[in-house]
This record gives sequence, C-alpha cells and structure tokens, in this order.
Amino acid sequence: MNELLNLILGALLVLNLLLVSASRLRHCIKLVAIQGVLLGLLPLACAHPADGHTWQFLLVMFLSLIIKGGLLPYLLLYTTRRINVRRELEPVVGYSLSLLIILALTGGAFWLGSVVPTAVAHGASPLVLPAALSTISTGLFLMVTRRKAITQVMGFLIFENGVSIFGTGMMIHNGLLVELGLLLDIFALVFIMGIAVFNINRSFRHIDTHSLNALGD
Amino acid sequence: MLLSALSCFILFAAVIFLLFFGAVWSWLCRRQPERAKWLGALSAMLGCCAGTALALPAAAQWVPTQHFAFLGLHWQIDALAGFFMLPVLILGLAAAVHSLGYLKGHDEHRQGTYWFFFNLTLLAMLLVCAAATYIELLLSWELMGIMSFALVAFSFREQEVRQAAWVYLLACHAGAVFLILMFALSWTPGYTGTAIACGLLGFGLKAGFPILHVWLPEAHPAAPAPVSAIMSAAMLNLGIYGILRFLPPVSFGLLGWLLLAIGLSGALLGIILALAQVNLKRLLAYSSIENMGIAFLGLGLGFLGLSQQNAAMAICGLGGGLLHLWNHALLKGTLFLLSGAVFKSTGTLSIDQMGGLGKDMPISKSLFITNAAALSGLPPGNAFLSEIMIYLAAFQGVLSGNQVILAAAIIAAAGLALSGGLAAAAFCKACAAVFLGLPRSPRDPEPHPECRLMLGAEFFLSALALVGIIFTPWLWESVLPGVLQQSPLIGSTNWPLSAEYGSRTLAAVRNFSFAAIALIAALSYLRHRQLSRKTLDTGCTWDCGYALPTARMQYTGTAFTQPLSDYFYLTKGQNRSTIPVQGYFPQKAAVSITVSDPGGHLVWHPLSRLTARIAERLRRIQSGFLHLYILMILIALIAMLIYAVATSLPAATTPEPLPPAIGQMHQNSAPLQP
Amino acid sequence: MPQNPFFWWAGLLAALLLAPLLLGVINKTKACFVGRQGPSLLQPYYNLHKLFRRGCIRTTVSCGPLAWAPGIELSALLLAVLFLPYANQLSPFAFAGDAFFFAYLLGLGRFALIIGALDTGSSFEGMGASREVQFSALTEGALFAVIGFLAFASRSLNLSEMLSCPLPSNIPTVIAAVILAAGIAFIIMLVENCRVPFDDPETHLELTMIHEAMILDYSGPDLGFILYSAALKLWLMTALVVLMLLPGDLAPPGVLFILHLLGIFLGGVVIGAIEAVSARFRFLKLPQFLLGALCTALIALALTVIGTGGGLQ
Repeated sequence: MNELLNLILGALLVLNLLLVSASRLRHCIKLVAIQGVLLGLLPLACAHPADGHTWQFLLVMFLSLIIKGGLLPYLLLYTTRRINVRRELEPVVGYSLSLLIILALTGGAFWLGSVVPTAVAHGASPLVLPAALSTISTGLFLMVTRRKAITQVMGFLIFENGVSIFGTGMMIHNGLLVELGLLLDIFALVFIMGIAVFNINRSFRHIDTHSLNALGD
Repeated sequence: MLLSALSCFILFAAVIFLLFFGAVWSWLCRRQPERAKWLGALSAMLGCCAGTALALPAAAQWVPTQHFAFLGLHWQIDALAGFFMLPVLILGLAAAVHSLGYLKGHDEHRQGTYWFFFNLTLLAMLLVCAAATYIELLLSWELMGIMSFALVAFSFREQEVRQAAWVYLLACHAGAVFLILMFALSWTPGYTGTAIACGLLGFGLKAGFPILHVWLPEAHPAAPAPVSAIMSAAMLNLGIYGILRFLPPVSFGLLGWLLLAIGLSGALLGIILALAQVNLKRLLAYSSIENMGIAFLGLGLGFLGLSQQNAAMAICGLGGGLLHLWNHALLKGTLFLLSGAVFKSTGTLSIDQMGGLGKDMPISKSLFITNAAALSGLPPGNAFLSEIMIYLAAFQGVLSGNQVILAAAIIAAAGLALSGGLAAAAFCKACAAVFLGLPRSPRDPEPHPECRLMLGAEFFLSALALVGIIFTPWLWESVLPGVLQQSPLIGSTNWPLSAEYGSRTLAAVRNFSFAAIALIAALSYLRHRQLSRKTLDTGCTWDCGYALPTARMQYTGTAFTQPLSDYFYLTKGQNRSTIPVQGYFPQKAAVSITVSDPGGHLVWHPLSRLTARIAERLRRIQSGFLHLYILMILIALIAMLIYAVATSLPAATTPEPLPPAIGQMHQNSAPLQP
Repeated sequence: MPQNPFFWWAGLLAALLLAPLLLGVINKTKACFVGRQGPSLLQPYYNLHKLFRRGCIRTTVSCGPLAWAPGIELSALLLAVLFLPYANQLSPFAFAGDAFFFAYLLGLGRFALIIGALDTGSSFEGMGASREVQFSALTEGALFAVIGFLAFASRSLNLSEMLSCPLPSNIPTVIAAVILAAGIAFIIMLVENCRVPFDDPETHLELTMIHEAMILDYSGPDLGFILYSAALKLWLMTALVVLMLLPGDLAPPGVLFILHLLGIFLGGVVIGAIEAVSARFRFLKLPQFLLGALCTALIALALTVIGTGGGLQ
C-alpha cells in the first residue's frame, strides 16, 4: 500500500471537516489552498516509480499545483478583500449540524468504498474512494447550505477537487490531461464569478444569494 | 424437590391471596380511611415479602422452574420471571411504606380506593411476570394497564391529571392491541415480520421507545409519587421482559440492529429532553426514557454479539442491559419517592420555584444528590457497574474486526458517553435547583419535619443500591447467565453464555468503588480535623464584590441548562418569547421558554390531525340510510370474496407453500405463466 | 517490552509530588514569553502550603455539598492516578475497562465541584457551573472516541496496554493517525483543565471564566484540595498525551521514565506557549470545536482500520 498517498488522503478527509466548520472566509480560503496543494502532490504519490516521470506529467502537476494551491485561492482572497466580506454569517445549516452531516456522509463514503469493487480492482488505495466522495459531498454541501456567493464558488472548487482526487487516485488513463482541461474551466469560472460577485456587490451592497431570488420575478 | 415445589405454590398462592384480598378488603372499608390504609398497606407489604421469598430463589436459580395451574390458568416462575419480579416487589414494598406518609393530607378519605388499585397493580405486574402463555400475559397486561390508569388518575380533580391519565390509557390500549395482533399473527405463517414489528411496538409502548414514549412524561408527573416510582422503576422493565420472553423468534442480527438504534436514539433523546424540563417529575420521567435506552443499547449490542458469535460482546451487552434495569429501578425509585417528599414539602413540582430545600430536608438532600450522581453513571454508584459492562460490549464490537459493527459500536460508545455527560448536567440542575442555594419563591416559614415513613422507604432503596454494588459480581457470575438462558430468544441457540468475561472487571470496579468511598471518608475526616484547629468564619456568598446578593440573582434550573438546550435546538425559535432589556434604565425584561416534545409535535400531532382529516372525509359516507349501509356491506363482502378467490386459486396450483413476500409475487404472476 | 514495576511506582510518586510543579512550569513559560521574570517555579507549592495553614470562610447559604466537594474531587483524582502506565510500565491496578473507570472518575470530581458551586447560590458560580457542565458533556464524546481509537490500535481494553503498546512503526498511516489522536487528546486536555484557548485560568473577570468561577467561594484547605486536584488532573491528562506518543519499545524503562517526565514538562511548556500567544475562543464556538474533535478522532480510527489492513474484507 502506498503510504504517502494514504497520508495525503487522510489529511484531505480531515480538511473536509475543517472546511465545513470554518466560519471565517479567509480561513476557509486558506484551507482550500491547502487542499489544492495536497491535491497537486497526489499524482506524485500515486504514480508508479516504474513509469518514470515524463516532463508532461511534471508540467501538468506543476500547473495544477500553482493554479489550485496558489492562483485560485489568491483570486478568491482578492475578491473577498475587494467586496469586504469576512464571515459566513447565518449559514442555512448550523456548523455543528454540518459537521455531523459531513461525518455521516464520510461514513457513507467509507461504506461505499468497501462495497464498490473498482477501488480494489485498480489496485488503488482503499482510501481513494472515501476521500473523493467525501470531498465531493463537502463541496456540494457547501454550495447548498451557505448563503454567500463566494462560499458557493468555493464549494464548487472543492467539488471539483473531489472529482480530481478520484481521477488521480484511480490512475485513470490520461486523467491528467482531462484534468488540465477542467482546470482551465475552473479558472475561467472563478475569474468570472469573482468579477460578477464584485459587480453584484457594487450594485446591491451585499452578496447574499437569498436576496437575489427577488430578481427572478 | 417436592417440598420446594409445594412451598413455592403456597407462596404464590399467598401473594395472590394477600394482594387480592387486601385490595378488596380495603375497598370495602373505604368509609373508614384509617382502617383501609392499614389493611391495604400491610397486605401490600406482606404480599411483597412473600413474593420476594418466592422470586429471589427463582431468580438465583436455587429452585428449579416452577409451574402452577391456578384459577385455571398456567403460570410459571423461572429465573427470568424472578429477575423481573424482584424490582416490582422491592419497589412495591418501598412504595407502600412511602404511600403511608405521602397520602397524609392528600385525599386522605379516599385511601381505600388508593390501596385497592395499588395492590391490584402490584398483583397484575407480578402476574405479567408469571404468565406462562399468551392468554395469561394478555389478561394480566390489560389488568395492569387499567389498574395503573386508575392510580395515575388518582387526583382526578385536576385537569392536567385527567388529560395525562387519558393519554396513558390510550397508550396502554394501543399497546395491548399490538400485542394481540402479535400473538394472532405469530401463528400465521408468513406474517412473522409483521408479528415482530407489532410485538416491538406493543412492548415498546410500555418500555418507552423513543417516539412511543410520549405518555411517559405525561403520566409520571400526574400520578402520586409512590405510583410514579413503581411505574418508572418496575413497570417500564416489563416491556423489556415481554420482548425477551414473548417476541417471536427473530434473527439476532436484525433484533440487535433494531434495539441498538432504538436504544441510542432513546438514550440521547430522553436525556436531551430531560435537560430542558422544569417539572421535577417530568425530568425524572425523561431520564427514565434515557435509562431504558441505555438498557436497550446494551441488549442490542448483546444481540449483535450473538449474531457475530462473539461471546464476550454478547454477555457484556445482554448482562449489562439487564443489570442496568435493576440499578435504574433502585435509583430512580428513590428519586421518585424523594420527589414526592419534595412535593409534600413545597406543594409544587416546578423546580424554578424551589431552592434551598436542603436546609429544611437535609437527609432528603443527601439522598437525592447521591442517588442522582449514581444514576448519572458516576462511580462509586451502582449504575456505573452496568454502564461499564455496556461499554465493554461496545468495545468488544470495536475489536471484533467487522467494520460495520466497529462503526456502530464506536458511535454507540460515544453516544453513551455523551448521554452520561448530559445526564450529569440534568441531575446537577435538578439537585441544585431543588435543594441548593436560596429559596426562589416565598415558602411556608414553618419547616415541615421530614416524614419518617417516607425517609425509611427512601433509605431502604438506597441501602439496597449500596448492597447491590457488593453483590453485583456474584450476580453477574451465577445469576445473569441463567436468567438470560430462560429467554426463548437467547436460550434457543444452545449457545453457552459464559459470564467469565467481565466478572473480573466488575470485581475490580466494586473494590475501587469501596476504595473511593473510604478515601472520600478519610479525606473528609482529615479536612475536618485540620479545620477544627483553625478559625472557621461564615459570611455571605462571594458575588464578586456585590454585598447584597438576593435569591432572584441565582441561576435557575432553566438558565443552568439553557446553553445546552439551545445547542440542541430545543429552546430556539417559537419556543422562546422574550421581553428584551431596553434602554439605560431597563424596566422589565423576561424570557419564557416552553419545551415541546418532538415526539409529540413532529409525529403524533400531525398524525392525529391527519386522522381527523380522513375521518372528516369519511363522514360523507355516513349518510344515515340503512339501505346504503347494507349496500356497502354487500360490496365489501363481494370484494373480499374476489380477493380470497384470486389469492387462493394459484396457491392451489403451487405444489409447496412459499415464503411470504416471494410467495405473493409468485401468486400474482402465476396466471401469466403458461 | 521490558517491565520494571519500580519505575511505575516512581512514576506514581512523581505524579503526586511534581504535579504542582507543572503549573509552575506553565506560568514560568508564560512569563518568559511576555518578557517578565514571573513567579518562582515552586510558587504552587508555596501557595498550597499557605492554604493548608489557613482557616476557612463558609457562606451561610451552603447546606453541605460545598464542604464535601473538595474531598470528593481529590479522592476521584487520587484513584484515577492509579491507572496510567507511567514510563510505559503496566499499572498493577489495571483491569479490562479501566479506561472507562478513569474517565468516569474525572466525571465524579466534576460533578462534585459543580454541585459545590451551585450550593453557594451565587450567580457567578452558577454561570461557571452551567458552562462547565455544557462543555464537559460534549468533551465526553470526544474522549470516548479517542479511547476507542486507542483500544483499536492496541487491541486492548485497559488503559495501561492502550498507552504503553509499541506503535506499529512500519505503517506511516497508523503513526499519522496516532499523532492525530494525540492532538485530539491534547485538545481534550486543554478543555478538561480549563486552559487557554478554551478557558482562561488567570483572567481578572469572573464573567469570562469557567472553572475558576466555580471555586470562588472556597478558601483555606478546601481551596488547597481543589488546587492540588487541578494540578493532578493537568498532570494526568498531559501524561496521557505524552504516553500516547511515546512508544513502549523505544528504550529501557529507566530511560522511558526520564523521557516521560521530560515529555510532560515539555507539554507544560507547550501549554504555556499557547497561553502566551493566543486568546480565548468565543464560548459559542466551543461546542462546535468539541464536535469537530470527536469527528476527527473517528477519522483517525478509520485511518487506522484501513492502515492496519482491516480495510476490505
């Protein structure tokens, strides 16, 4: 069993708990950055030494490390500073309850990981599926239950991180290339969201998505 | 052998005779309350003593299982029956003594009625334990329900009491209906699952399963204190007794998971709701739900252990669960009796209006605090002995190697720990708000002396709890395995339950418990000696420099647990109304909090509204014309006929009976087959 | 793992004698961090000595528990001391399930203090007791999750074997999980002993206290009992964390004895450093934090299960 991989995946599992209980946006963004860095290290941990690291492989890894661990969090931080929000006040679901829900979802992910045979068949670590599913559900959960648009963007980012944990951990062929494409998408998305959120904030003085419902009429 | 059988029969007859005729006679003498009182109480006490002489040897397996044919019905007393009879008898004895004090100045002229129902309730509970077959069980179950209903409704002049009694009666009858269904269906092949569900619902209604528990916090505060003591400490157990004795055979795994889930949710729900209560007896009632939950948790773990062939887990879970019932019976019995004494002295049960009773009732205060600490599972109390066994069962599950069981067991252990911590919180609140600090509302300046009779009953139970600690290892080794084997559910496996595991732990805990008691005594003596040579001043409470603290500045019970209740969403939102503090010189500020039972407002109220709405719809059929009714009967008959023909025809063609669900599928699809 | 009962008894003696010194170390560290000279390392001993010589002032409101509580608290801790495997030597008093006894003894001490605090009828002590009861109830779950983790990692149910078993040092995941669990145990230790960032033992404002607010009405030998119990509790919980991290097969017992003492005082330095550089959390945040600790302990358990190959049946 690949121990470095397991360590990273374990850290990702704990990160999900921290993410869901962080109330300060800056703190949350930092956690996302750490998640991005860990994710960037993931290919290094799970590639077979026999394969040899081609320069493309290293490049893709390096790019994703920079974008997910550095650029995107920086953009998010920049946006929060521009629009001057600090905290995620009044989440739809309280922090304690969120923790319990995420714990339950993680438990479910572990159960699913022991049931679904793909993980073993691929010779991947038994932690990959739990970690990926748990991260995906954390992302979805944040998107559903938080009010600030910026947290929702983060939720989306975390969701995507979960997908890429799955891809990398399962060593899907050409996964990294797909990953690169996705990365560009996400980058564009966060960029646009950042601008949009800033503009919304400028015209409405807040970024509470619940209040945007009124615009539908 | 023959002698023991004969003497057992004589004792059994004596118990029935004493309780029954004591009841009838005190009813006949109801015009002379003094005489009725002594008749009823003495016969109850003697009956309980005779019963103990019968049940104790049976539970300890000194005599073999006894079968009696009495009144044309069959009764049997084996270890399991004896085990569940003992709390009834002990509590019955204590409650009878306590009632003598409690009933003074409390509907004194109706003592004959009280003792009639009191004795018959005891008798019915004993008969439930002694029932050999379904018929006897159902008869005595119904008798128990009705007689205890009358006791709950004893102070029927109060509106709340009447309402609570109705709820209780409904719960009793619903339980009985489910039990009848269970017995009817358990003979019908193919309906075992339904029968088991009915059985769990029927017995669970008595034992206070979560959601089914709603009658409990209503009935206990309404009943006189000795009656609540009997009901909470002994009658709830009978639900578990019923499950162990009469539930149709079911796989260990399924039963284990069910009981584990029920137990965990019951333990947490019960204690979280107990935290938020302001009525002392209601708090105790919710704590009973918690303790039943803990017992179920133990039993669930034990059944899981059986299903895993894990001997240590099985015996620790099952034995710990049963042991907890006894410990809970003694401790909760005492607490309810004490709540009666408190009620007699203050005339209220709302703990936010009490306080400072410890000075008027020093002995009751000490008893209440020690029993409350013990019931929170703290060593050196006896409830810790059963809780540690349940923890051991859970941790055997953690070590068992099965991942699903590991996850369940660790959650069960953490939940049990949480409920223990919350129980400590709830009982701190109860002790403090009732006995400690200063009186929160003006009280009768003349303190009532503590009633000797009530104190005697309370002391008796507490002493038994203490003695229980000494005997628990013996109980564990020589009594519990035999008791468990008598349950058809467990005994059917021919699977030896050895109590080897855990007895060393119990002995160690017992020794350390007494070491703790000795150490506390020694340190207190040391401190006393140290201080006797020093100056000992008295002053007012240090309130951070404020020299005139008043009673109204104290934390009330509600305030004490408000952060926790808030945390569990009990006192947020519409449950709370506030007049906030305003301005620099605030006039009046107030908070009022009502705590509603989620079982009631999430399940039963919507359900009853739904029922009402359906009934409203159905009223349209109610036209009043006889012809229409006959037509409806005709239609129903024809529909039934068609159903019977349709289901029986293909069944005749299938060569052998099939198991239920699959069988029906086959029958439905049979005509399509060539 | 070589066993030498002598070192266990030496460890017990060290716990009983050196516990107040740990408080001194914490205070000294704090003072060093902010550039003061600070009180002497032995100051807690002087305080205890002073308190035991004094008389007592008792509030007239009390009806008894106030006088009993210190003795009960101290007895509970004096019993709890017996179950830790000092210097990784198995305790002679160990029995299967003593971990629960240990945890519940701490609970007994707490119960006694809370009842004692409420006995005074003081609003401040009521507030302290209310907070204590809230946080301790929630800590209990996390503590038991950690015990569950230890039980699984050592395949044993007594505290001695749980804490003294050699780590499966060839599996990094398990080591990571042990460190994670030790971190949780450290947090539990901070909460149980009312240290910053969960409670501030040295604030001047009663409104922001938990534990200290509960003992406002004690004086003389009673206060001495309580201070000594608090020191003992701090020592015990720190030792718990240290022993979790100290593998039993590292060195001969004598060296382990020195190592575990050093570890405990290092723990004191860490506590002091944390207190010097961080502020107290908001009370409202604490329940969430404790729940997070519980969840993390469960994840540590899951990692161990998978790491030791119990992963997939």
